[in-house]
Amino acid sequence: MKKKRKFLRIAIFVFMALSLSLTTSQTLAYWASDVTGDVDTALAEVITGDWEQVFPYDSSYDDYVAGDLVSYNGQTYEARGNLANSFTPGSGWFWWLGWTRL
Amino acid sequence: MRSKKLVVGLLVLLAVVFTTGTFAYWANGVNGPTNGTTTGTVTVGSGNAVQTSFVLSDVTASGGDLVPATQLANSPSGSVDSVSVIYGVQWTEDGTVSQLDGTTSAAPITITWVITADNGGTDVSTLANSLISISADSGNLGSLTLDSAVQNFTFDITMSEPANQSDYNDISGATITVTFTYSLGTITTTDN
Repeated sequence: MKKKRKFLRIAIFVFMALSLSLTTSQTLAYWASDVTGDVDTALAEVITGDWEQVFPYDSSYDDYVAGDLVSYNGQTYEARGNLANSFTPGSGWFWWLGWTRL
Repeated sequence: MRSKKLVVGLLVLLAVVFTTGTFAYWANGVNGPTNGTTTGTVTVGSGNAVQTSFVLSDVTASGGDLVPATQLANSPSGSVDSVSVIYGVQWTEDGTVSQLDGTTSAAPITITWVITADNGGTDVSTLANSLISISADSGNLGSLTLDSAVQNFTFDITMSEPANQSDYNDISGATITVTFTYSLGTITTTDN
């Protein structure tokens, strides 16, 4: 009789414990009218470098400075300084005042 | 004398019986009331909207000064032809008490970017937009799950050659700022 009662107690306890776990999972139900997203921004900063690039000679461009490289009639020229803006590389008498043929 | 009292007693008893009898039942039936209904109204409340946020963290930004890939050989050491930017993105629920326990929310993520550039105080954004390219890594996720782990999003920044000396002067040594905007599409919440 005592054993039977003990067994019954354990059975009831196990049943209640299992029932509790089931109930607990149900109480975590969804309760929200809406889920609102977000918009956020992040910045990335990049510095560009410099390089030596030969561009085609442009007679309308008047801002050549020493070191600028141009190509003209199949030749490459380097500007000596501001005077390069006054001469067409390889043309006329005094073009060399503004340009150096490479 | 005794029978006289008995007679009086009987008469009183009869009087009581008959008097009571005047209140006797006189109906061929008792009808119940017609059916009645009452309406009770209970308004079910609604849960508050759940606010969510992005947590963005700049993981790494590799590289040095950006130059065109075709001019890397003509550039000083330390120049790079590609800069990788990696952002850690986590989507989390605001607040300390979760309303969404037992559910899973997911949404497609959209990342857009805007390029601006400055060179010595001169705005060269138009030129930068024509020369700078940004590509999202193919491994970037297309959707996020709420309260999941941080996901890395990688972007590669490259540039192409300027067309002439004037453009070169404008773009070399410029500071390129890329603003990445992270946003979510339709959020889907399902019960676990």
